[in-house]
Parts: sequence; structure tokens; C-alpha cells
Amino acid sequence: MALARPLHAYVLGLGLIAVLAVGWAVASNDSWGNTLALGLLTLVAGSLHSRSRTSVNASLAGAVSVAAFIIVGPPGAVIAASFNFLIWRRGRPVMKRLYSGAQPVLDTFAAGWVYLAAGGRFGGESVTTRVVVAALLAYATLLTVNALLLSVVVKLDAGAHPFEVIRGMLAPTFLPMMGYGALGILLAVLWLGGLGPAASILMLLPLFVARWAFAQYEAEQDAHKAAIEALAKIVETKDLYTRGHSERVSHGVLKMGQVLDYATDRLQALGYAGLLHDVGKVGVPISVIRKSGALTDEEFAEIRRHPTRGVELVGDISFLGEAQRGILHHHERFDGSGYPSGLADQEIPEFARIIGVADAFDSMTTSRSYRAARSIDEAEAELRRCRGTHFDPRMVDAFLEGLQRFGWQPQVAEQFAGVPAADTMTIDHDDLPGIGSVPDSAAADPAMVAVAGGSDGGRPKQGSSA
Amino acid sequence: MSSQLFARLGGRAASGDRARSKASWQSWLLRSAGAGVVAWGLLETVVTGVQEPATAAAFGALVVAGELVRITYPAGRVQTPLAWAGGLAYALRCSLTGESGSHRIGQAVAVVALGMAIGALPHAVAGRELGVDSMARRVLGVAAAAAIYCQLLVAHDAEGAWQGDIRLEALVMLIVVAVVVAIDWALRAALAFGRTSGSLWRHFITEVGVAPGIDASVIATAVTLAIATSITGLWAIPLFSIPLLLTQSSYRHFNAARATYAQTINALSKATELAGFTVVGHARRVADLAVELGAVLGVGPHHLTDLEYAALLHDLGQMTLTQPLPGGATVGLPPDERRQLAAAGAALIEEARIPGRVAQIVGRQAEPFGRGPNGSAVPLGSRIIAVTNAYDDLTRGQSGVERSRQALERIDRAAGADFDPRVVAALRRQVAQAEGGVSASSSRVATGG
Repeated sequence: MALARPLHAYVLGLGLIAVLAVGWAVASNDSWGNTLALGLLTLVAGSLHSRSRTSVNASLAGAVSVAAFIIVGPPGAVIAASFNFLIWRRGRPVMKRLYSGAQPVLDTFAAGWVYLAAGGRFGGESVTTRVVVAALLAYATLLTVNALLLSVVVKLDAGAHPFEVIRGMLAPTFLPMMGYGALGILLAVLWLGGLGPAASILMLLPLFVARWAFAQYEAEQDAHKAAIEALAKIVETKDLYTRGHSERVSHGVLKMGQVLDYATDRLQALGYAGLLHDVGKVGVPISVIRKSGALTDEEFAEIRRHPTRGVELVGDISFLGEAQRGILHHHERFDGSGYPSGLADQEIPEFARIIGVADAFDSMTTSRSYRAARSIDEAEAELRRCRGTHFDPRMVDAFLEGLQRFGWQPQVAEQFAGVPAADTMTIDHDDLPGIGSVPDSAAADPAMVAVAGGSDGGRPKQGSSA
Repeated sequence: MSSQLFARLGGRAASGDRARSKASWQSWLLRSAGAGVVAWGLLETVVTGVQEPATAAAFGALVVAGELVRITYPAGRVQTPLAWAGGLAYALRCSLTGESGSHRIGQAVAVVALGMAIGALPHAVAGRELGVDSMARRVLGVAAAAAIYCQLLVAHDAEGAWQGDIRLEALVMLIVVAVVVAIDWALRAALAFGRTSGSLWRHFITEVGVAPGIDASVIATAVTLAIATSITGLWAIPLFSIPLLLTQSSYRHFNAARATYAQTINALSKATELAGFTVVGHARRVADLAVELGAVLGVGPHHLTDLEYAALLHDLGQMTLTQPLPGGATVGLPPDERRQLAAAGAALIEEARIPGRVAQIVGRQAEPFGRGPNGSAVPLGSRIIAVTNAYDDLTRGQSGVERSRQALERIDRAAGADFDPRVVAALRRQVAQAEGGVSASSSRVATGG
């Protein structure tokens, strides 16, 4: 990041104060052996940065700081914290290095005063309740000062409001960090109980392992997300129309989920349901997908199997849970005339009702070789018209609100560069009668009329061209 | 012996085979030893009375808790690090209370055994895997730790050469626990050796590699608990278990993510089946067989997962075809086409950002053995998949010893040119083993055994 002058001045100022603090600490320190050991520990804890997204790195340093207060007191803790200056990370700009060294020193310095004020002792043989309370208060101070100093940086650098930053940084991580602080107290107990520096190996080894395992977990999660997206994309190798469709439906249902105030976990499952809703089309023969002209009953039936096929494919992925029901029933209709099960009203799983709306909207607003895309307003009107018949009214409202709040990214024109030429008309299953409204412009198209006249199980054609 | 090959060659399990295949004789030996030690320990404790009941209860509760929060690994393996650490810590406490003598060991064993039994109850009620072998190992491990530490070392150190200094004590404890954990690895390897093929040494390496982080944490926590309880009393038990709990929790997340990932890869592999390009079950069979051959040929445990995923996805390139191949078989195609399909599959896998060498293995599966394009050797995984794919294509997944023999002949003819002779030889051995099992089972069935 390009650092502006105020930021430079701020960091340099911090650096200066930090140096003064270290000077005071050196003058006041007694137990050098333990101090240097703690400093080394700080160095190790800070150097082993894992590729974890969360701030698990800071947690170990926190444990060491708290232990330092109890073992060597504030002066020693400040000196140990100064070892952060020595942490080498490749390619870091000087200002960042200065800041990352100065900040812990100042945090620890401030916290040290709180420790003494709260009656904390150090270097003794036993760890009393008073010491524990003082240590926890000191650590809380350390975290707060940390957030304060950082918020100034963010304000100077990006203009964000300090209070928001503090809240965003402190709130989610405060409790876990305090937990690690408590572990620091345990470390001090072992250290002072006679083990000395060897205690750090015993106590901290499991924490290092935990951190490693957690980083592995995050890596696995990332890979998993990519694999699910690949699964959704696999359909596109055969059916070019679907390109981008699944992604847009996924975005659409996510917006609806936010309007409906879904919890994060459920929102994630919903997003996956949207992404994978058409994955069963892998089972539809290419000849049917790319067929020009009218489809036979058999071919209709083939296409209508895709929700069931979809669940066959992703049925073993246990975490998808509710999403699987959404995929199976995303072509049900509110009035009961959908497929595969003819469910009506609230019988239709919630995810399925949500996907139905977003799916229809996207199919209306994308172009085909045989018809142009409808405008967003037209599509909105169509949704409103089918409220209660085709779609769940609540879901339509949620979608429209989401549209207002977040907008809609329609399909980009260039995406169709790869579509086969006009002589092979790719009829999209979402356009089939009895499923969505037959678009107006298609009424004049003889092929489309033939399709519209095709077997629909004898059910009344809903939403046929006005 | 491969159950897949066994079934494929027409082997049928006689009624008694099922139960016998569950637990080998090594397993029964272990369980008997464990049961014997537990019986002796309980008897001992009852006869000489419980010493320091509060401590016994506290550690017992820890073992119970450890059993309740056990970790399950994707392959069905179960671990209870907290119970393990707690049991070992209790076994180590003898010197710190000045007690030594055989009842110490007995009580340690009794407390741990009772704790494990109580903690396993909810799992048994829920119908989950009990892991009796694991319990037997742990009981023996606790007995060994107590025996080595208390009987051998503490008792022989009457002058207090190392007992006065807590740091030296910790060091000795660390060594003892590490030795016991190593023995546990060896026992696990011996049990696996009884169940599947592969050398004892290879099994040992595998067991070490399952979760070395957890094992190291168990060693550290056992010593920590033993020492901390002497400094701060019984409160140390819940407090100083926290780091291990954190480690366990992270591992649990990690395993869950791995399991989910495996499910997703499975789904990806089913896509070609659903699209009608490949035969149902082909990918799974190739993967199972490839993993077996891989284990026998010395592929390490981490690379085995790569191999499995690569085998599951080896036909992904067929998604780019417009017409499905007859029987989904690539074995009859000209080499250029096969290479093209392999490359297409590798491209899709790379796009899916599947980590590891999966894309590389899939991409090079169609290369003839011995002649890499730029002189580089074809990866072992690719060579294995080439052979197992051909075997499954040629037997069309159908059973029958004759069919299998014909397939092997065809593969043999191409060994050295297309296929790696070492891999082909390994396949032959596996098939021969399965055949031996088949003829044994059919004779058992015939005689009504």
C-alpha cells in the first residue's frame, strides 16, 4: 500500500515511543534469563505464520505476552515484545516492519501498567487468584490498545471510521483471544512451578499443531468450494446455454436469502443449491438438448428427469442437506402442476420455492437463438403475474426486494460467442410449456407453437402467450 | 486380500467367513491380553483398596470425557487423544506421590478401563464403532507406562538422582511416554499387517503418518497433566487439557472437510456415468484396485489419496466427447485419441483447482511406459491407472476367473511397451491371491463349512 505522509508520521512516532519504552524496560528489568527465553518464544511464535485466513497467528503471541507478565513482569514483557522487530518476512516494506514491531511493544507497555495497577506480582513461585485476574485485565487492555492503534492506521490509510474498525476487529475475536490469554496463564504456572522455559514446549506444542490442522482445514474448504463449482460447470461442457446460468441463479437466491434473513450456514447451502440446481442436465442426452424442432413426449420426459438426476449426482454429499431437496423440487409449481412430484404450496421445500423464482427470472432475461432476452422490467411483471399460481408470493416479493437492493447482473452478450449457429435451435427446458410462461415473441414461431402444442400431460397451459 | 477382486472372480463368502474376516488372530490376541490386564488390575485394586480416590475419580472423569469426544477419521478409524493422554498421565503420577509398587499399575489400569467403558457406553447405544482394539491397546499402553516409569525407573532411583529436579523428571516422563506411543504405533501396524497386504515396516510408516501431530500433542499433554496436577492439584486436569481439546477440534474440522471433499470428488466422477459416457461403477472399481496396487507398490499414504482421486476422475475427459464410446472403454482407442482425452480430463481437473498431482496423473495416463515425450518418466500413479483401467475395461466389470485370465493375457502382451511390467506383475499377484481365496471359499461352500 502506498503510504501517505500522515501515516508515515504516525508510524515513525509510534516507533520512537516504542524505542523509549524498550529503553525504560531494559533499565528496569531484573530476570534476564527468562526474559530472553520469552523473547525467543515471541520470535518463534511470530515467525511461524501459517497461511490461515483467521487471526490464529496472533493467538500464540498473546499467550506468550500474558505468560511474560506473570513470569518476568512488565519490563521483561516489553523487552520480549520487542523481539517482534526481529521477525523477518520477505518483501515487507520498511514502514510495515516498523509498525509490526512497535505496536506489540506499545500494547504490552500499556497493558503492563494495568497489570501492576490491578495488583499483579511476578516472578514468584505460585500464581494466585489476584495474579490471574490482573493478567486477564492486562490482556484485555492489550487487545484493546492493539485495536485502537490499528484503527488509526486504517483511518489514515483507507479513511474508515475508527469505531467501526475496532468493533469489526475486536468483537468476533475477543473471546477466543481471551481464551488464548488464559492459556498463557497456564504456561506461567508451569514455568514458575519449576519447569522453566521447557514448559513452553509442552504447552505450546499442541497449540502449534492445532494451528497447523486449522490451516489444513481452511485449505480443504477452499478446495472443496472449487470442486463444487467445477461440478456445476461440468454441465456446461455439453449444454452451452447453461453457461453462467447456474452462477446467476446462485447469486439470485443468495440475494433472496439475505432478504429473508438467513443465517450464514443456511445461506451458504442455499447458494450451493442455486449453483447445482441444473446439474442433473448432465444426464440429458446431447441429442435432446441440441435438438431443433419439436420434442417428442419421450424427450420431454427425459428433460423432466433432470431434477431427480441432479439429486442422484449430489445425493452423497452430506453437507448439502436441505440443498438436495431444493434441487429435486425446483421445478414444482405453487399450484401443484409442476414436476416431479406435483407438490403444492408449502409442501414444496423452501429452497425449491426460492430457486424457482430466480431460475425463471434468469431464463427470461437471457437470450436464445430463437428469442431475445426480455428486459428486467418485463421479467419482473411476469413474476408478479404468476404470483400465487406458479410461484410462492412470499418468494416473489423477496426476489423483487432483492432486485431493488442489490440489482441484477444480466447475462453478458459476448457470452454467447460460443453458441452454435441459428440453424440448431437450442430449446431451453425452462421455456417449455407448463413450466414457465411461453414468451410472447415465440408465439409467432412455428417451431415454438409446435412445442407449445406438445404434450403437457393434458394440464392447462399456464401463462401461455397473452 | 482384495475383497473386490475376490468378489469379481466369483468368490462367495461362506457363512463363517464374514465373522472371521472381521478380526484377525492378532486382534484377538491383543484383546485377550488387554482383558487379562484389566481383570488383574481390577482384582488388585479391590484387594488393596483404592488409593487417593479423589485423584482416581478426576482422572477417570477425564478418560470418560476423552472417550465421549473422540475423533473419527475418513477411513473409519477412531482416535481418543484426550483419553489416551489422561490415562498415560495417571500412570505417570506414581513417583510424585511417593507411591510405588504393583498396586499403582493395577489401579491405573482399573481406572482407565472403567473410564473407557463408561465413556464408550453412549457410542455403543448409538450403534457406533466401539474400537475395541484401540481400547485394548490403550490399556496395555497405560500398563506399560506405569510399569516402566514406576517399577523400573522410580523404584531404582532411591537416591533421587533425577527425581528431585522437576525438569529431569519431566524429561524422563517424556521419554517413557514417547516409547509407549511408539509401541502403540507398532501394535497398530501389526494389526493392519494381519488384515491387509504390505510389509510390516510400510504399515508402521503409515501408522506414524496418520496423525503425528495428534500423537505428539498427546505425549506433551500427558507429561503436562502429570506435572501440573502436582503443582496446582486436580484443577489442572480440565485446565491443562484445553490445548489438546483445541488440537482435537481442529483435526475434527479438518477430517470433516476431507470427508466432504471426497464425497464431492465422487460426485464429479459420477457425472460421466450419469451422462452415459462411462459404465456405472467403473471409476470406483478402477480407484479401489489402483489404491490397492499403489499400497503394494510403495505409494505413500498421502499420495494414495491423490491416486484415488485421479483414478475416480480418469475418464473426466470423456465429457468433451459428442458421442459416447462403446462401453465407455478407452482401451481400444488409438493412442492419439486416448492422449487427447487424458489431456482434456487434466484440463478440467486443473480448472476445478483440485490440489495435489491429480491433474498430472490423469493427464499422463495414456502415455506408453518408457517413452515420455520429453524423456521424463511417467508418474507411477499414471502407470497404475493405465493398467487398472485396462483390466476393468477388458473384464467389463463382470466376474469370472476365465474372463480375468483373458484380460491379464492381453495386458501382459502390452507390458513393457504400453504398461509398466512391475505394475502388471503386482496386478497378477493380487489376482492370484484373490483366486486362491476364491477356490478356498468355493470348496468351503461345497463342503457346507
